[in-house]
Parts: sequence; C-alpha cells; structure tokens
Amino acid sequence: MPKTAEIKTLQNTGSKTKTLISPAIATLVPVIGFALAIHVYSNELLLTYMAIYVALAQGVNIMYGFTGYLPFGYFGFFGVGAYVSGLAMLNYNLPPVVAVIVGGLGGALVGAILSPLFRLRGAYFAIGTLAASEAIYTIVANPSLQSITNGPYGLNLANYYSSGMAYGSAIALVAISIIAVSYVRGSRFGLTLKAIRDDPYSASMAGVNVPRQRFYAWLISAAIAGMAGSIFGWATSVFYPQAVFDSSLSVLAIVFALFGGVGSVWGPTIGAVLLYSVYNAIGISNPEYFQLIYGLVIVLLVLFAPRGLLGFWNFFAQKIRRKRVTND
Amino acid sequence: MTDSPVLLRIEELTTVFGGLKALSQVSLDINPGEAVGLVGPNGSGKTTLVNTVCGLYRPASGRVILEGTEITGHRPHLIARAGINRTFQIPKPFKDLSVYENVRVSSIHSRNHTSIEGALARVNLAELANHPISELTAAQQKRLDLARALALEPKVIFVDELAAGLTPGELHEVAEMLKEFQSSGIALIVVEHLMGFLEQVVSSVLVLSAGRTIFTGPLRTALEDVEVKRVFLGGESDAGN
Repeated sequence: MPKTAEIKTLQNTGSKTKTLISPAIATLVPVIGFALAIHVYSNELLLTYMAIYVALAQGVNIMYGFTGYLPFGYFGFFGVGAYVSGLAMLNYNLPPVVAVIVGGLGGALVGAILSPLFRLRGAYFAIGTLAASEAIYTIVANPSLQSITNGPYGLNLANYYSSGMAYGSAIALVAISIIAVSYVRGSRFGLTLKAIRDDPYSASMAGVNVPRQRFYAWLISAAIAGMAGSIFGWATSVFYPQAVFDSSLSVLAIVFALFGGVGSVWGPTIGAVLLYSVYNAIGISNPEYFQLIYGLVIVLLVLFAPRGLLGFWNFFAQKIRRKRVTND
Repeated sequence: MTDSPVLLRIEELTTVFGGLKALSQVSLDINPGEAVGLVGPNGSGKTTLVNTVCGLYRPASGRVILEGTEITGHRPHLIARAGINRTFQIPKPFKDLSVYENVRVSSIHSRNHTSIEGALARVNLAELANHPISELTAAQQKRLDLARALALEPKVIFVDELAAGLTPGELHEVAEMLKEFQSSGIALIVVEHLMGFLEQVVSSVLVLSAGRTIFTGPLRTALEDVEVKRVFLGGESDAGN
C-alpha cells in the first residue's frame, strides 16, 4: 500500500475513535463515577477533594496542555477563590453555591491582574507565578489585615457547612472543567492555542493575537482554580491561609495532569483519580513512601512517557493500527 | 526612490541590539507583483530586516508604510493581517497540527476565511493535507510556511531561503510557484544565496553588508559591482581607486 493511502487510513481510524469517545462521554463517566462512588466509599470529604483535584488538573491542562505555560503558582487562584467565596458568605451572607461562582470570578480577576507575567517564558514564568502567589498569601495572612481577611487565623464557614451540597458542587465543577477542556480542544480557540504552544511568533504571523488568546486561556484556568478553592473552603469548613495557599496544591495538580497526559480530555481526569487514590492509600499513613513513589513516577514520566499515560496508550494503539493497516 | 505611491515602503529603517547597529538606515520600495532579491553575507542584516518589518523587532528609527498606512512597530499579528507575511529560514510548522490544520490557523484569521485547499494547492501540498508534520520533508515544510502566509491573503511575502537544499528540478518548480504568486499581484522580497535561483525570480536586488545597503538595482549589475564582489568574494575594494 502506498504511504499516502496508509496515512489517510490511519487518520480516518483516529477520527472515528475521537467521535466514539466524545466529550459527552468524557464528562459523564467521571460525573456518574463520582455520584456512584459515595454509595461504595463513604468518605465524602475525600471524594470531594478528589473531585477538586480532577478540576484543578483540568485547569492546569487548559493552561499548560494548550499554551505550554506551566503555572507553578496555580495555588494562588485556589487560595483567592477560597477567601473570596468565604468572605462573600460571611460578610454578605451569599448562598454557598453563588459564593463558589463569585470565588471563580475572584480567581479570574487575580488572573487578569497577574497577566503581565506572560512577558516571561519557560521556567521564568513558572517561578514568576509562584512568587506572585506567595506574595498574595503573605498579604492575605498578614495580621494587620485581620479586619478584612482575619489574617493568620483563617476563616470559619461552619455555619454554611453542607457536605452533600459541597460534594455535589465539586462534581458539577468536574463537569464544568471537562466541558471547558472539550470545548477548547475541539474549537478554533483550541487550534489557535495549540499553534501558540508550538511557536508563538509563527502563530502571530498566522494572524493570531497571541497575548489575547493566551489571556483567555489563563482566565478560564484561573476561574476553575478559584471555584475549586471555593468548594475546598466550603467543604473543609474551617481553614487557615497556609492550607489554601499551599504550593503543593500546584505540584499535585501539575503531576496529576502530566501523569494522565496534558492536551487531552481524559488524561488529567485519569491522572488525578489514580494518583490521588495512591496518595490516600499510602501518602497519609506513610508519607515518606509516597514521596518516594511520587519522585519515581515523575522521573519515569519524564524519561519514558512525557505525554503521560494517554500518550503511552496512543503510542501503542497507533502501532497496532499501523500493523493492521500494513497486514491488510 | 520614487515619490509615487508604492505597495510597501521601507524608509531608513534602523534596528539596534544593545550597542550593535544590526540594520542601518535601510530603505526599499516595492510595488504589487514585483519581486526583489535581498542578498548579503551571513550577519549582513537580511533576517533582521525581515524581523523588523514583520514586527518581531521594534526599529530604533525609520518607518514601514504599507499602502500609505504607517505600520512601524505594530504587533506581528496586525502586520500579518494587514498583508505582510513571511516564511522562515528554518521552517516553523505547528508540529502537533496536521498540514491542513496548520493552514486553517491562518485561514480563520483572514478577512475572507480563505480556502485552505486553495492555499495548499498553490504550493503543491494538497495531497498531503491530512498528513502529520513529521511526514513532511524540510522543503515541504517551507512550502507549508508559504501556504500559511497565502491563507492570510498577503500583499507582500518575505521568502526566506526557500531554495536551500533543493534539487534543480525542485528549484524550477519553486521558481514557477513564486512567479504565479507575482502574477496574482503579490510582491515578493526573496532572501536568497543562490544567484541562479534569484535570476529566475527577481529583477532587482538589495544587497546588505554589516546592516548597510551597499547596492540596489538590477541583479546583473549587482554581480558586476565591485563592492558587492568584495563583500561576497573577499579581498580589497577598488571602489576608492
């Protein structure tokens, strides 16, 4: 078979698979999974946190998977969301679900304020976002701002506590984040972002307004983190600044996304569910083993599967398809 | 330099990097359908000129005027949408997109949502539309750069070393392709080292050396010019004798 025909056949097979594994399935499977999981595993708070990490990993996916910018300071939006929604409940008595949306808007607003960081690239951008988020943490936890943020003493949302509602909201956020990723992946916007990821200058010569498109992706990503932080604060009920402005939140979200495979719809979901399960099975009782496993996972990922589990899967699936086409 | 309206006027463009003047008061006028060669040894400022006109570098002084509108220092995407585009010496395809999707990125940002198939056909890549970039040769990737430029309905294209590494047959094919662009009114500024290829495409050249213009005029005359010979072949100039 000539090479051209072979590749066309492979492309067609790929598009059929894409149609089968549609965005609807990618959204419904985890949503139904989380809805049913509570009947099998009774630790609702743990499942809420897992759902939050799925959303966070998808948020990282939008930013890193589609633009190539690694946001180490992603936890800043998470913390801002937790505080904005918490203060909205405490000061304005907003219903928690509305406060979660306000928290998302808070995250997006801070994202807009930090957008000049896009002047930086690569490691400088990653470090820049980290520094900015640490700065936000220092401001929020400052005792002199106790009248506004309650300083280092955190927020107490016990009066608004509703584990079922918080869990439901976390599942809804999983759906929102996956729908957002599916939209980005299949849209002109996503095509443009992928072009930017490959070469920003080349993309601009294709007429792409690079700063604006990147800014939109950043806002979506920040809003997801803001809502995730809001639900975390609501579900946790009492939290301190160091709990929501914790850099390990970024590290976990990034590792989950990378482990599953960025740039895909399924990857971050799979990565977050698998690794967060391992984290809870080993990490809490034997944190030193977990750190070791984590370290090994990261090394193996970098060396053998830079595109994550899904990339690994696609590689072998493509090989099998190629073999079939050749045999035919 | 004439006072009549031209398609693209580059007026005394100067670009400075730190203390280094990479481009010094370079001027060029080009009309629709015209093709000008941009030649000079390595480091002479050819790519700096392309990058400055296309908005990657901000000039220290001078102006770039397209159809009477000054676009000096505009952002690259605005310059590209206005009608100035380019290819790259080392091709820069979007590696994770197919050939078709590469051109689609330009097409969706064009005013008239140009035909992707049409752009690919003009550079003889239509048959490879569904191929991944990894399947393309370097020469095909350069043509893909051209297709992406064409999809934005350009008025001027800077063609950066398109002929490098091509066989004589491919050179002829590319030359015919560029002539077809010219006949449709697109002006070309062809950055090239291969004089034989330039002869097929351009009528005049701008020769740069150390960021300065040392010759503008017909290609044949350039080849006889003492200063041009000195810059390309080395040795003493007898210009002052």
